[in-house]
Amino acid sequence: MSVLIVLILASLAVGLTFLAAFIWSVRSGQYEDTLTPAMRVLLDDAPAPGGEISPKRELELGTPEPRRSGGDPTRLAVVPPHPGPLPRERENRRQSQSYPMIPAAGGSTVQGEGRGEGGHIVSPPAISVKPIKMPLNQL
Amino acid sequence: MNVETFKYDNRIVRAFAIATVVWGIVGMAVGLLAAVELFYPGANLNLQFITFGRIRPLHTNAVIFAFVGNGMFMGIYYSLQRLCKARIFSDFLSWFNFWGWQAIIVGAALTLPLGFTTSKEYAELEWPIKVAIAVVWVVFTVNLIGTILKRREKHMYVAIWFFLATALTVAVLHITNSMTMPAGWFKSYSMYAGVQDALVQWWYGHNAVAFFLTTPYLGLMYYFLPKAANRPIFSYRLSIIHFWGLIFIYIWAGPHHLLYTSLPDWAQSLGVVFSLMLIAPSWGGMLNGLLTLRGAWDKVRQDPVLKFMVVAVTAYGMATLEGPLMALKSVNSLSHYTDWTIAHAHSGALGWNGFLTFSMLYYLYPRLYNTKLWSTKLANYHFWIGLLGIMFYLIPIYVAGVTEGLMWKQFTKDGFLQYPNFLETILQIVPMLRLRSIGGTLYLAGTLMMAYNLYRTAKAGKFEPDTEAQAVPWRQTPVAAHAGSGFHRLLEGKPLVFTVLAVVAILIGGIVEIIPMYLIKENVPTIASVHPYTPLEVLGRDLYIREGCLGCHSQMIRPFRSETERYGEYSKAGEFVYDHPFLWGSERKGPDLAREGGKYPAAWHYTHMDDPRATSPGSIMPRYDWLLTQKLETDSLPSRLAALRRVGVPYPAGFENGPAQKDLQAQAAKIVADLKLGSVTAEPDREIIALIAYLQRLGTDIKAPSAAPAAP
Repeated sequence: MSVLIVLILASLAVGLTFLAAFIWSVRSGQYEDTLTPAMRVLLDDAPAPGGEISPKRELELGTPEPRRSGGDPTRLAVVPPHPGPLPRERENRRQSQSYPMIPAAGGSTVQGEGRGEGGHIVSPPAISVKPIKMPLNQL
Repeated sequence: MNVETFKYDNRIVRAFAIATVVWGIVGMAVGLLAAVELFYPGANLNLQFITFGRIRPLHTNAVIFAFVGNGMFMGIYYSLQRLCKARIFSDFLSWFNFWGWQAIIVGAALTLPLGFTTSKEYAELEWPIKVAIAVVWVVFTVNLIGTILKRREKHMYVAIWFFLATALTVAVLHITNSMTMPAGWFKSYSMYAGVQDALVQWWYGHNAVAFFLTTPYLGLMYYFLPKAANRPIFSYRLSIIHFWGLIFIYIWAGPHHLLYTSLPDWAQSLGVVFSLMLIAPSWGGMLNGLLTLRGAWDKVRQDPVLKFMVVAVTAYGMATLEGPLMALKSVNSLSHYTDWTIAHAHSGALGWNGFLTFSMLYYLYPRLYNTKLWSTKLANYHFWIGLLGIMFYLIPIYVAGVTEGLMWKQFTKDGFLQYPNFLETILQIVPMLRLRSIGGTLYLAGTLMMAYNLYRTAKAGKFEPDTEAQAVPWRQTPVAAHAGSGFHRLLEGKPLVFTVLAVVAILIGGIVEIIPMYLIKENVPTIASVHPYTPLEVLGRDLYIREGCLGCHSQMIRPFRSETERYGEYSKAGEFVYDHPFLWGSERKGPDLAREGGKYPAAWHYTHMDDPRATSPGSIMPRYDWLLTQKLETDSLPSRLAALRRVGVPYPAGFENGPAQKDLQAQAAKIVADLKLGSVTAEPDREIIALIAYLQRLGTDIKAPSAAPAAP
């Protein structure tokens, strides 16, 4: 079974290379920011022709910051990407979880079955979230 | 702040996309033919070039390396440029990669039906093509690393890490498993023998799945899924853990393909433990993909791209849960050698790789051609027919696998095998094999619909060869300034990458030097009665390899009573020290042949190879009547024996020059005499004689009457 030596050496070489890469990646700050990289991917080129999201959905999300790289590259490079839908969604969720639970007529709760499909008895206070626009001089 | 304007290369992406579709259709069609041959052996039209044994490797190579391989390059060449905010390192290398890869595929499509094969699963291609693969892979790696070095985005998105791991690991795997000794242009013998060859092969085989079918596609998932859903990945942190967890564990799990074989037990256990650990990162990745869609499921309803992705990611999760479970010894004792393995492979291939490739194609075509998809409706039909195809494939074949496994192990109350005739267990699953081919037909039909849809999309739009983009480089001085001083200068500036490449180079050199030295010393038989194959048996063994017999017949009896009762004494590691390559197989569509020698008279084999249904009514084995008429090629015998000696088989010096031919003729005459006893008249110089010689030798080395009774 001396071939195991070959395999262990090969596997270890691969593994140690990955270990070196891992140490490098941590040291060089690749993982200091774990939020914006996920967002940045979405900004790298023009949206699909014909629109990949419905206008209604677009309205819900608000108009994001420049999506096409052709727009204003200076801004794109300097301004942190728009928070996008994810944090806002969290915010919404927190809001919705704090709604008072009022038993409905039939005994079931408002927040029970069918939640989120309309027909809320208590409607949440209207919240308007403005896209964050950070002036250049604050950076 | 200097903004740079540059262009993404779309041509290379389109080229790989077209190749993906074309080879996908070819590979799936070959798979369908193979599936039909399994219940209707006449489907090969009695042509040796398209018998099951020869087109099975053609199918696996076509779908893995041609379909998924091109799909992988397509996705990487598209996403890498955008993630790095840079054009691909070198257009020349891109096209070298493309045409080199296509040439390799064509080479495979020509050589495999001709029977030029090493017999090692997913590494069947003979050595000249193996060398070509290594060259093209290095070109791809250079292009990948070069692009990463000239990136304008400092942060390397997780997808890039997956691509890097793919490039590096596949290179090491391919080289280690391809160590062969050439004996002519289209024949070579593995440097490793028996158990060692098996271990290297499945270390490679498992990691080919891991690093060719999984990691690059995970990288692509992390790019295309968020893009298609227009949402960031659920948790970038989780994706980082997914990546590092996966790559550190994956490479140790290979021995789970060899449970209950002659591989040392501790090595088997090691494989089991690492396989189980793999569930954690795999499921982290799957959940990360699926949770990205939370709050966007309304889009999944409308967008075929996302539909395909959801099924792909789900299939990834299912296959990566099933895999570790099958790596448990108790489960494996039932599932190994049955169609369960085939079902597992196809849930990954059809679901994960196939559907993710389709989704990428549907995503890319409208963007490359600057138009809308020609018909969303047709794409939706493709989705449903494809999904139905997967179901029709998987469900029958799972049922078939479990049925086989249980029937093989079933004893009567009196302690006899309930189904002592192997054929009975195969005939039981033939209806399932038929249903499976319907599933394959549906899946292929969906792919054809996609091809038409993409063609019409391309017709309707206008191709954009380059996409202009702008970005600010993160480096103070643009890399372009150094470009004039050459690639090596670039490497020197990057100690890390230079180190990586140096390690790989040293590794290759080290392996080449060390392996023969270690292994030849080891191949001293620990069983005294085991001796090398005779010249005629060597040629017969090569015919066994040429015809792909190991696609259906294993040569590894596991130490279960159900197997020792059926086939004889279980296989010992010491029996295989002269097996270059090992021929254990991984699937039984016919009985195990490890103890075939002496079970039947030579005349039985002759008749059986002429027409299997003459000796075994209802058999699904194809006819091999060309073996009866074709002349045995003996000119290459000296080079074959010399190559075998070089990898450690102790043939005496000068044996191949004269004594070998004499030995061969004497043994052939003996077999002709044996055939006469069964009233069969045959010429001594036909291929069938060599094959019979090999089959009659199998397992006889330790078939002494004093052999211990079969262990439980």
